[in-house]
Amino acid sequence: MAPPASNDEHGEEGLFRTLEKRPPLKEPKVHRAPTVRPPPPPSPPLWMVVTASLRWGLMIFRFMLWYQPRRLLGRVTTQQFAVALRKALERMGATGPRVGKQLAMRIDLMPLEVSLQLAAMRDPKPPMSFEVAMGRLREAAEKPLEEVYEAIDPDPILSNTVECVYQGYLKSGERVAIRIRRDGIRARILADIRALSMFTRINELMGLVRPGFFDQLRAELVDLAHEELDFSLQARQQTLFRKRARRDDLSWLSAPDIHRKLCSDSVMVSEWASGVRLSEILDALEQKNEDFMLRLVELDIQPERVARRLLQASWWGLLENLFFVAQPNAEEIVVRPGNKLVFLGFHDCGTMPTNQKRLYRQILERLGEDDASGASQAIVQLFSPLPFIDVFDFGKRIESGLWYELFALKDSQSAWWERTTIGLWRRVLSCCRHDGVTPRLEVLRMMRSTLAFDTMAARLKPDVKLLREFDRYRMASDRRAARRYAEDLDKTSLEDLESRWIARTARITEGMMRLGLWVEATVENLPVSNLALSGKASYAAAQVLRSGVAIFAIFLFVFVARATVFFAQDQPVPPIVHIRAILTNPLFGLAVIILLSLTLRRILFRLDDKGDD
Amino acid sequence: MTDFAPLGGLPEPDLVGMLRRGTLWGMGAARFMAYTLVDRLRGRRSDDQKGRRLREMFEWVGGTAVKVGQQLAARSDMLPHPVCEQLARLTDDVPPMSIEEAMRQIEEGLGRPVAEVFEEIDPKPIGAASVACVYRGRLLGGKDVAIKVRRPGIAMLFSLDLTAFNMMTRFMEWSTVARDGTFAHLRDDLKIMFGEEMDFRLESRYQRLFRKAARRAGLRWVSVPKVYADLCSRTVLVSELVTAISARSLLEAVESGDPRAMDRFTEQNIDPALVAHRVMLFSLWVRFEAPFFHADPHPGNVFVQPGSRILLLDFGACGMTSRRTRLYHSEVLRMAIDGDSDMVSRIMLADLSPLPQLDMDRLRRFMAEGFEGVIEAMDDKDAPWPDRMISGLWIKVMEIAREYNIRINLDTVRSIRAYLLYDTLVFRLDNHMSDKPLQDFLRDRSVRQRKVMVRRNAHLDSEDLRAMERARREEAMARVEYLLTKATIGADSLLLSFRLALGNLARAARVVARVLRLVSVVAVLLLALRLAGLDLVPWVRVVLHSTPTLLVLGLLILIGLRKGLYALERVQVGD
Repeated sequence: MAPPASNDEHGEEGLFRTLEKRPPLKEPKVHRAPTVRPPPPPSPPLWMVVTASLRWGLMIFRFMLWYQPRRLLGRVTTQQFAVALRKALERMGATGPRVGKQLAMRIDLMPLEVSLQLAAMRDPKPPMSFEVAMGRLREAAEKPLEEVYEAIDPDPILSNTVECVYQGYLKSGERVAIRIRRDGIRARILADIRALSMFTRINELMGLVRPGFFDQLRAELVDLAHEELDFSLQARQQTLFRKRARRDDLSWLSAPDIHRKLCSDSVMVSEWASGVRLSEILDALEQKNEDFMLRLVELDIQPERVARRLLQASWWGLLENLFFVAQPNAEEIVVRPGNKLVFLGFHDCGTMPTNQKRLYRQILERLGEDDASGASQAIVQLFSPLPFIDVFDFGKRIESGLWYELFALKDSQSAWWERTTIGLWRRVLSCCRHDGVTPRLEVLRMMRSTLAFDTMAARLKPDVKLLREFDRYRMASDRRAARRYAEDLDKTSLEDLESRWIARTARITEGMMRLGLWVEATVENLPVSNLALSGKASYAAAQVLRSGVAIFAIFLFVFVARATVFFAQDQPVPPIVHIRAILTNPLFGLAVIILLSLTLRRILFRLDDKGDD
Repeated sequence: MTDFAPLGGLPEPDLVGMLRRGTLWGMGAARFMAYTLVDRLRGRRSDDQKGRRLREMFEWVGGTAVKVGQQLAARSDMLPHPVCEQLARLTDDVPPMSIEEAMRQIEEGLGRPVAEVFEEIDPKPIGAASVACVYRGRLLGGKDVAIKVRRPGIAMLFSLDLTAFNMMTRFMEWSTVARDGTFAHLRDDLKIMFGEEMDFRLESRYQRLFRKAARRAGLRWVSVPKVYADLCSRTVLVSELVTAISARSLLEAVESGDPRAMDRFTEQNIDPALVAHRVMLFSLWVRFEAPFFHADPHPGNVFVQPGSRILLLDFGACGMTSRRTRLYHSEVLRMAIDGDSDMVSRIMLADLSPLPQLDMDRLRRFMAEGFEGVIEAMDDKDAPWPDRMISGLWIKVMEIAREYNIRINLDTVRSIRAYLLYDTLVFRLDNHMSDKPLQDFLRDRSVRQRKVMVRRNAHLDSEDLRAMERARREEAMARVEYLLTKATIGADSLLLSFRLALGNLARAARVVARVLRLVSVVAVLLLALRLAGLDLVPWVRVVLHSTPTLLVLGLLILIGLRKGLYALERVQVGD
């Protein structure tokens, strides 16, 4: 509101005069439009797409050249196939291993051996030039590096086709890990994805697979380019994970803190997680490395407890957290002294819709209560919407498989992998294959995640009891929920509580009233059972047939009569003459037409009936 | 690399063997058909005779075909009772395998020389059947064990016979001797069953779990031999050696009333009535509480130990009962005790679902009548014992299922067979069995249920319990609210109702029919005029040949077609 005009120097007294104005801002600041997350990827140049197509084409050709003859001769085991596929994809660099990891998720399409091989994909590459890396780091920090960092080791601790990881110290003395993405990798991966989608489309076009077979894969690949290459998204998930774990008092679960101010979408600076990598523990256990085990004892790390905590973390992520780690990797989990787990990789996360969470919980709870049929019903629900199949049969098949797996889970003598969800999901997926049910990707991700966590846990603690651990988790999560609720109660004043209750009661009352209306409206037309009538189409067909029979009967009658008369008069005539005479007789024609039109009328009446079809 | 192969399963059949066994099966089937034709010509058309011929066929084919026949004997839901009885007589008496072969199998299964594990093995087997032979041995520690050894090559033979059987039934379906899909489930069931029986690791697992479950339920008078899990493999099962008297000999003694034999039993503190009571109690536990059951408790697999203890052997085939089925069955029993045959039939129908399209009303009435008779006989103290068995109810179900062509799944068939075997054993041991075991069972069950609840909450203090209860209540309220929101949304959208509409197909047909009617009316008119002596046909010909008329006609046809198309393309509710 402009203040009322005061003494005016410019204008004169009178109706029309200049009034006071607020001086305009000198230079209005131009804001950049907020970036959409994830930002739309730039389109790769054409030459890159062409080269990528050639490279992928050559790779597929070479692989087929190796595989097909052996397959025809029956001289290739699944294991050999898996290793060859992994190596071929690894050779492609960057996109190859990522495509492989996505494929590893499709445990519904391939044997478990292949999936496990593909998940263990590696892609080392000599590090990028240090100057370029530091350039990126400077851009992200938006100030000279000397002001921020105390020291940076030019020798990267990890270097693959997508990124290099350096270690360093901040001015504050904190040790950090610095991830820097390679330049131009995004364009390359996008070009590869273009090439791959082209190949899959050609496959579909040529009818090698049914159209749409690769739709999901293509969508996934594009997502992958968005998610995995965008560090800011990962940074956000990592922070959330950390925060949520702390909120739920899981003092043993965490993710490194992130220095958001030093990050960009190609640089990520996070707290250094010191400890032992889970993969090292697993290797040491399997190779019975005594020295390493002694070190673990010194560090106060007990593999059994780590196993239990892994399972707890897995269920916490699936059932309580906003998202879960879809493909946990022993390389990316660090165990700190006191069995504390630190998760490093958040590049592949999945989310669970609420009903899926409930169903998954239901499955494990039912199994814990020896109720395989209840669990199988929950599993069938998990796969909805289902195609038109015999759902009962499908459920029964799953149930009979579940019984075996249930006993395997409960038996104290079964092999380590029988105590994981490997067997369970494999049975379920084989039922899906049998009935042509395609599980949704979220479900597959969930399965893959649980499977990976269970497998690590069972390798750490071969006598792990999955269902008992779940029972423990359930208790802990109930307790957490109870505590959250109690805290909430403590924080809320009595008045607030009261108003909350009043609001709720009002909502419920209103809901009930509206439901009542609906029930009344529904009950208005009481269900009446109808007399069974034959369907319209069959009725019409029957009528046509009936009139045909009648016409034929008339014809026959006239024919016989005519023949008899002529015979009696001793004038034998060939039958064709009779036939011609009858057919051309207008009276006969009239009869036929009347009959037909009557039939038509009858059919029309029935067709005009409303309701059933 | 770990072997992730699931337990159970049969090897892939090889081609040569398949041809060999397939021919044999084909010849057997041809023989069976020829004999039945002869029988029919001679007027012997009874089911009994047919069963006999079928039994002869399985015996003639021999080998594992006998096992297939035995499994068919349990399918009284598919085959008439006399046929099943005939098939049940099939015995797989096979001479034992040589000790050298057995040793080879044991060493292969153990993965090390026999001498590293066993102190001695008796070369004379204590049991021989078509799948395995059982030897007695002593472990290095001095413990006596029973070693069950699978015959070499038996899995392949099973696989071949199963394939042959599958081919035969498929041919029967294809050539419409049987309706399509008649044997589909039987084929699946047989594959599962034989696969299960071939892997002794599964048997050892069942035995272990059963032992644990029985102990946990406090059935101290039931014993199951301990399994040495580390010595078991796909082909070898090593378990503790127990001495006991077969239920068969006890039955013989009881039924013949031989005083000498009875004295011997009394000396060992074995009381047939107590044994019967315990078997009954045990069978009730299996029916209504245990998640799985011994599928073949015939008197040869049930033993009695001093002190009237019951011992079960041979867990090669086990069936599972779902929680739902267990609940249904206990409800059936409750309703039967109340004498409510209508409720019994309703619950049974729910258990049998999904049902094919049938006249439900008639079926229910028919079932209720059947159950009425069974329930009355069960109540009648003077009725002969076979009529007083609880399993009579389920046998009735099997009969009805066969008559109405209702499919019963494998586990249900197995459980009904097991019930029947237990009941028969009980009543043969004690003809005057009362409902005391039932009362005892109900009492024990509530005690067990209480124990479970206590154990489950043992590690929680009352503060925890209270907090959880509060949180649970809160969640329940939130869920109710959520559901209500959803329901009201649904209700809002459903308040509109639809006018009854014609289906698209019928609509299109109606258009066509209307056009035809118009044509016929015109034709009738023309004919009538002609009959009246007025021949309009040349006129019509002239009119029809004029271009404007043709144009109009063409337009009319076009409009008619379009209308029909619109009718077909109209979006329809439920389309």
